[in-house]
Amino acid sequence: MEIISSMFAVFLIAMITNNIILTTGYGICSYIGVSKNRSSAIGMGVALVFVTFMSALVSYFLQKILVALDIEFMQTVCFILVIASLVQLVEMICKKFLPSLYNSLGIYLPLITTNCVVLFVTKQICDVPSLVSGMGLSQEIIDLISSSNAYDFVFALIYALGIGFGYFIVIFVFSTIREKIDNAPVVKGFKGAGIALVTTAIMALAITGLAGVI
Amino acid sequence: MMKYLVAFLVFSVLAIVFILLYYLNSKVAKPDSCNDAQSECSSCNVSFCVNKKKER
Repeated sequence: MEIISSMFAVFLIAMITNNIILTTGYGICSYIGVSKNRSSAIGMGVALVFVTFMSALVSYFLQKILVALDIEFMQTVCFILVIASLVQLVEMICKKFLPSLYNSLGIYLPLITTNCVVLFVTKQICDVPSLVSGMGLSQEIIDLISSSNAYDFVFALIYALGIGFGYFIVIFVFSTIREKIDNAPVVKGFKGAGIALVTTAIMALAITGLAGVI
Repeated sequence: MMKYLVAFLVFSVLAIVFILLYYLNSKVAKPDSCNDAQSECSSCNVSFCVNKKKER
């Protein structure tokens, strides 16, 4: 039971208190660019959740192979190629079987290749025990994760899902705020990206306030 | 020396997979209703694309 609650805690921490955009600033380019309307933001969020999860799944096993072959220095290059390949695969599937989704994602789907959120997650999940130890979980859980490859793998996937959903929620919430900001009387120098960044900073303050709760 | 050869082989395999998927992706026809905005917009200029759609 404790392991399930720990998994849920990892998911919530990755999604809310360690939110990738609001705590690190990774992925801020697509966040500012795509959040101008709600439907685009939802499309980008869904695509990113999917690619992050799939990249984590593939990268986890790829990392094991790289370690076994003693070529860990190839990690970043290999992960970039994996992400780029997955994006091509997703685009192909969307084109063939989900034309409506392909139309709504459009230009945002290839952009995920250059989204550093995905690369950040794939690199983070390579060392799950140290990642989890930074989240304030009990030593028993950390030892359990370190002792079993199955738990290690499940935690890696849950963390990847949490980060993906965190991105999705923040970009969605921000797109709804931004639609209102567009109609608000903003000082000339702050219009556009300026007020967007100020709003993001206020959102980040609100999110970090929950750090001790979860 | 052997290590670098293995590294090159792993890189080559992944690169071939990517090239193959890119080729296959380019061969799949786009849906009829698709608006091709990619020729005008790239990378971080997505906001530019959104503005452009509004202007139209």
